[in-house]
Amino acid sequence: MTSWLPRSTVHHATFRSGSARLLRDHASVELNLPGATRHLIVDGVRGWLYPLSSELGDPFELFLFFDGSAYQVKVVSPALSGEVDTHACHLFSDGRICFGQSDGGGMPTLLEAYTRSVLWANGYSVYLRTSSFPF
Amino acid sequence: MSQPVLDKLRDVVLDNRQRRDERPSERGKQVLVDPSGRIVIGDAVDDEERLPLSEVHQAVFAAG
Repeated sequence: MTSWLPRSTVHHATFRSGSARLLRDHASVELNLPGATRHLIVDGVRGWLYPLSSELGDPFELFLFFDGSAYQVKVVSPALSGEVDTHACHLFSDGRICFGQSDGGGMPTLLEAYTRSVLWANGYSVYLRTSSFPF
Repeated sequence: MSQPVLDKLRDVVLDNRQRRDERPSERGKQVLVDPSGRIVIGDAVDDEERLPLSEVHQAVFAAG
């Protein structure tokens, strides 16, 4: 009977939850976000910068990141002038989109934050023309 | 880029909210987004075309 010798050993550590989330998020970005999306670290915050164009043709640049408990999206451009009623446009004063009452205004998944940001961008385009957010 | 798409989008979202249905099963009530950020209403695409699309959660936005 031949003796069996292991060729290699497996380290039985698990991925840290943050690493697993990052891998999952990268996969989601590859599949679902615009091809021009860039992975960036800004002031120590890791996230994704992506361009959008609303149905009315307005260009946007948005930054999506995980804040430790939920996914947030910040408006990078257009610049939000003082004439914009952030309350009516569902924006926090720091430029983040307020998606809802829970999760600190964020969303539980990256994909939900992305899709909701597309909806918001289209609403904001209408707001710029009518001073009324449509949905 | 079209105003008709936005008009339909508004009607669909507001109707779903009125019925408190943020994830509707009816295709014509679903709002989808493609990887380039374009909005698509669910009944405008067939099964094959839906594959790269993501559904939008239609909950009410909150005030900041």
